[in-house]
Parts: sequence; C-alpha cells; structure tokens
Amino acid sequence: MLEVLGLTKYFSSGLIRKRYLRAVDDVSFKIEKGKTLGLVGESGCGKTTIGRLILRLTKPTGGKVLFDGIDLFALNRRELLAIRPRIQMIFQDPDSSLNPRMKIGTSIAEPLKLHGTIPKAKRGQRIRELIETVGLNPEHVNRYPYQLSGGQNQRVVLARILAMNPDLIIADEPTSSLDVSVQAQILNLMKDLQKKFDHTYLFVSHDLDVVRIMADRIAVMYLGRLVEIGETGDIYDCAKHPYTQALLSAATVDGGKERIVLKGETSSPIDMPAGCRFHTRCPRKRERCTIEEPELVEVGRDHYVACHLV
Amino acid sequence: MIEGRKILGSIGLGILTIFVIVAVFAPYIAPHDPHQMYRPMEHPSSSHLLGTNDIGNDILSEIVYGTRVSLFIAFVVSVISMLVGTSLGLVAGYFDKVGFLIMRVVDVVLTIPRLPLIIVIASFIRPSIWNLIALFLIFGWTMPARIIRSEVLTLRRRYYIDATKMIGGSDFYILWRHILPNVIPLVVVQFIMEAIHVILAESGLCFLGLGDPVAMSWGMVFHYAFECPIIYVSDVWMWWMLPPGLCIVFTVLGLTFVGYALEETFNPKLKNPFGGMER
Ligand SMILES: Nc1ncnc2c1ncn2[C@@H]1O[C@H](COP(=O)(O)OP(=O)(O)OP(=O)(O)O)[C@@H](O)[C@H]1O
Ligand code: SF4
Ligand SMILES: [Mg+2]
Repeated sequence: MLEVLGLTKYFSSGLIRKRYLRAVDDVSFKIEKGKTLGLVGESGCGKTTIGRLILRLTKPTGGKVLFDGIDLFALNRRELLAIRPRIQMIFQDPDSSLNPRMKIGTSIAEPLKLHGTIPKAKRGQRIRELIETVGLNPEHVNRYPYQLSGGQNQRVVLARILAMNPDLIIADEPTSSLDVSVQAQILNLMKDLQKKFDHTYLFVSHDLDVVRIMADRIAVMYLGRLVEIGETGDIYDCAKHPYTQALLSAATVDGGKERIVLKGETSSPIDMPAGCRFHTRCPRKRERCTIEEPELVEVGRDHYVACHLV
Repeated sequence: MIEGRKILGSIGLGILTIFVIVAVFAPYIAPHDPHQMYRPMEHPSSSHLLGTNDIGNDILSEIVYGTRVSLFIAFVVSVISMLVGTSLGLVAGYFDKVGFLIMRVVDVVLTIPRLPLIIVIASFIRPSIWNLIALFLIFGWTMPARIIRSEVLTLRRRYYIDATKMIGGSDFYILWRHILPNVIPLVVVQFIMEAIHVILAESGLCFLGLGDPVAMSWGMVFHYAFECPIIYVSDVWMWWMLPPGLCIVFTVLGLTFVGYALEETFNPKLKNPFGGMER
C-alpha cells in the first residue's frame, strides 16, 4: 500500500554559510492495506515532516514514496491532483485545521465542491451522511469552529477527509490537544471508520498508550531516524533499542517495571553527534557507538532495530 | 472600555454619514450656485449664511460643493490603493519569489519621504484633481501591500491552508476563499488610514497653493481665505476660514473614531468573534 524508501528531508538555513537541519534522515517503512503503523518519538524528531513529505506539502531532499506502486515524488501537477484525494492528513491542531470564518457546513461541503464527483443536487444528502458518520449533530452546520469543542472540530475534520474517500490517512497526533475522555471517543471513531472503509493509517503520536490501542505495527523515531520498527506486541514485550525501552518505561501502562530515566538533553538536529544519535543519552553506550552509526538489522520476524548492542 | 469604543464609533459614523450625504446631495443642500457672483465680502445674513468671499461666491455653497471634491479624492485614492495594495500583498505573501520582488519595490517607495516629495512633484505638474489622485496613488498602495503581505505570511502557515491543498484547492482558490476573508479587517483599517492621510495631504497642498483651482475642495476654500489680507484685520476668518477647517478636522475625527471602534471588533484580543486560533 504505502512504501517509504530512504526518505530524507534537510531544512537549510543561512544564506552564505548553509546549515542543515536533518529533520528526516533515510527513513524506510511499509504499511499494508487496512493496517495501522504507529509512528512515535519525542517532539521535533520529524514525525510531522514525514507526513507532510508523503503528502508532498514539503519538498523532499531524497528518497521515494510508493503509493500503490506509484512513485509520488515523480508525479507532475496534474497526476498529483488526481491522486491527492486518496491520501489525506489530519493535522496536529483541529482548531487551526478549519477556517475560522467558514461555517462548519461550508467546510464540509468544500471537498465535495472542489472535487466535483458528486452532482450539486446530491451534495446536501452526502453532507448529511458525512455528519452522521462522524457523529456530529445536523444543527452544527450553521456554527463556526470557535463555537464547537476541540473534539467536535476534529469530527468536522474527519468528515472533510471522508468526503474525499481516501485510502491512506495520516493522522498527526489527532487527539493530543483533546481531553482524555474525548480522546477515547475520537480514537474509537477512527477505529470504526477504519473497519468500515478499510482505511490505512499512519498514526503519529508521542503517546505510547494511544499508539498501543491503534497500531498494528510501531515505528520509533529518534532525531530524524528510525531506531526500531516491529509488530505492536513485539515492541511492547521485547523492545530491543535502549530508546524504545526508555520510552516504554516512562509510559503509564508499564508502571510496574523499573523506570529508565534518560539523562541529558536531546541533541540538536543541526549539530548531530557522530555515531549513534542517541549516544549522548544512552545508558548503555559503548566506545563504538560514538564512532559508527548503527544500521537497522532484523532481530526477529519483521522486527528491526538500529543499535550496536543487538 | 469596549462600550466607550462603541460610542465613539457611532459618533464617528454619524459624522461621516452627514458629510457623505452633503457630498452626494450637494446640489439640493447648497443654497446657491457656488459659481454665482453676489456682492463680495458680505457678512453672514439670512440669504448668505456664511457670507460671501472676495469675488462674491456664497461661502456655504462653496463648502457644500467642496465636500464633494474632498471626499471624492480621498475615496478614489483609498479604494484604488486598497485594491492594488491588497492584491499585491496577497500575491507577495503567498508566492515567495514574486513576493521578494514586490517587497523590494515597496521598500524603495517607502524610503522616499512621502509628503515632501508630493509637494515637490505637485509644484511641477498641472494642478488638477486627477493629477493629485495619481500622485497620491504612487504611495497609497505600499503600506497596505506590506501589511497584508506580512499577515498572509502567518495565515498561510495555518493548517487549513494545507488541508485545502490536500482536497485539491488551487493557489488562487486558497487566496480568494481562505486568505482574503481573513485580511479584510486589515484592509478596512488601512482604508481609513489612507483616507485620513489623503484628506490631510490634499488640504495641505491646497494650502500651499498646489491644489486644483477649478475644483474647489475644502482646502481650496481655506487657501483663498488665507490669501485674502482682510482676514487678518477683521472677523471674516470666522465664517470664511474656520468652517472649511472644521470640516477637515471633523472628517478626520470621524474616520479616526470609526477606525478605533473597528479595531475592537477586529482584534481578537479585545473581543473574540473569530480569531485567536493561532497556536
Ligand atoms: N518548515 C521548516 N523549516 C525549518 N525547520 C523545520 C520546518 N519544519 C520542521 N522543522 C524542523 O524539523 C524538525 C522536525 O520537525 P517535526 O515537526 O517533523 O517534528 P515532530 O516530530 O512532528 O514534533 P512534534 O511532536 O513537536 O510535532 C524540528 O527540529 C523542526 O524544528
Ligand atoms: S548504538 Fe550504542 S548509543 Fe546507540 S542506542 Fe545502541 S547502545 Fe545506545
Ligand atoms: Mg508534529
């Protein structure tokens, strides 16, 4: 379904002496149709950038993204426009995902209008359907986003996305700005929708508890690099990478185990340390870690880790 | 605080409405034909409420018709400046390369001291209202262009812009449907500032004798009064010089009050109808 190969994005700054910020560095993964890949990692590790690259909202520095075998980066404008409806993204903040001066109804009608697959006469019917599917109230259509709660706005965002009949949905921390009780509702809604429409999800989050409910597979990122990827169960039960272990020990579900507290600050993505990017904070680093960068190696069935210890 | 703004806004709107009515219905409101000559230098009386000037024109009628000229210049300059400035600002904020070029032009024009240059040019060209309008337009578009651009630079980073690209919205569609409505408040405020500037600058030019001698604006009435030596030694200034001056002052006040009241409606920090979504 979706295959990401060596995806790389450097942001450059400075006109004369260019400095590069390595936001995403040689990331590869696959998602199968109807499955969910959870992408986790701390703030600034490049999760959102990966989503925007797949959507071609940001120009890639290198790598390939294959969507149903189609190389997304090789498409011209028209081809891109044709394929765009099939890949949709939920952005980090539902409130700024909707135009504050547009009524909810207009927002939901917008994709239908722009896309033009449904004749004008049937749009009203389709809008009512969408509103019901995402669990909104028909009277919400005459309101403005600021009159709705964050959870309701996120439902509006979902309705807009569903209007495009997408195959792949990139959800960038869809619930991180919501109350815990509302979070569960939205997550359940997303799971139901996935079952109903056979959506494929790339589910970005820094909350491991949330990812555990949603994802079939989990990819862990650190400073622009994938450090571990595997089935959700394998990651939770036998994480091999020290960073994954530390993340897990900090999550609430693993309260029983001893907490691994990471010392030090995350390195800056501009002045990346040599060798393993995690070595400045790794509790188990070796001599070798400061010199050589570890590659992803298979440690179990479909389970890959980038660490010199394995 | 907000109540106070509302009251001021209503007062300002009232003042402006009166002037606009006077301008539109000048032929019905003016008691006489402003070009008709009566006995010169008459004091106010029931037939000439503000007396007559040195060549015998009815001063009140001159001022009533002058409202037309003054407001017309301010209106035309402000409307065209906003149309041009907003369009360029939108494009400059949304497209980086074109934007860079447009902003360099803006920078150059803005470094020129506006009023002195207007005075210099105005003293070389034939004084007519169309020349004055053209002259004001050289500068009028720059401020709105710069302000709109910087607003677009932040607006275009909102997620709903990306979300619209994602559902197939073209750049033009995004600018028209999503960005323009969000900058309208700024455009309105800029319109008011420009109108104030033009009213004052036009009066100033007239005062210096650089106005259109055919189209009598408030500034011209004032100018002719000022040139007439008698006003220094008698009470004539009270009905010849003061009224056009007050018209100018009240128009500027009216515009300022309305602008001040709108600031409250538009500023999400003072009241939150739509804004405050940035995070
Ligand atoms: N347009 C940009 N220009 C320059 N640097 C950028 C840009 N977008 C992102 N970055 C940088 O790239 C890195 C990765 O950013 P990204 O938004 O992908 O992180 P993230 O994992 O989504 O973080 P968060 O959890 O905070 O959302 C960060 O260091 C960020 O500062
Ligand atoms: S490679 Fe070395 S520093 Fe990096 S995670 Fe493994 S042990 Fe730690
Ligand atoms: Mg992010």
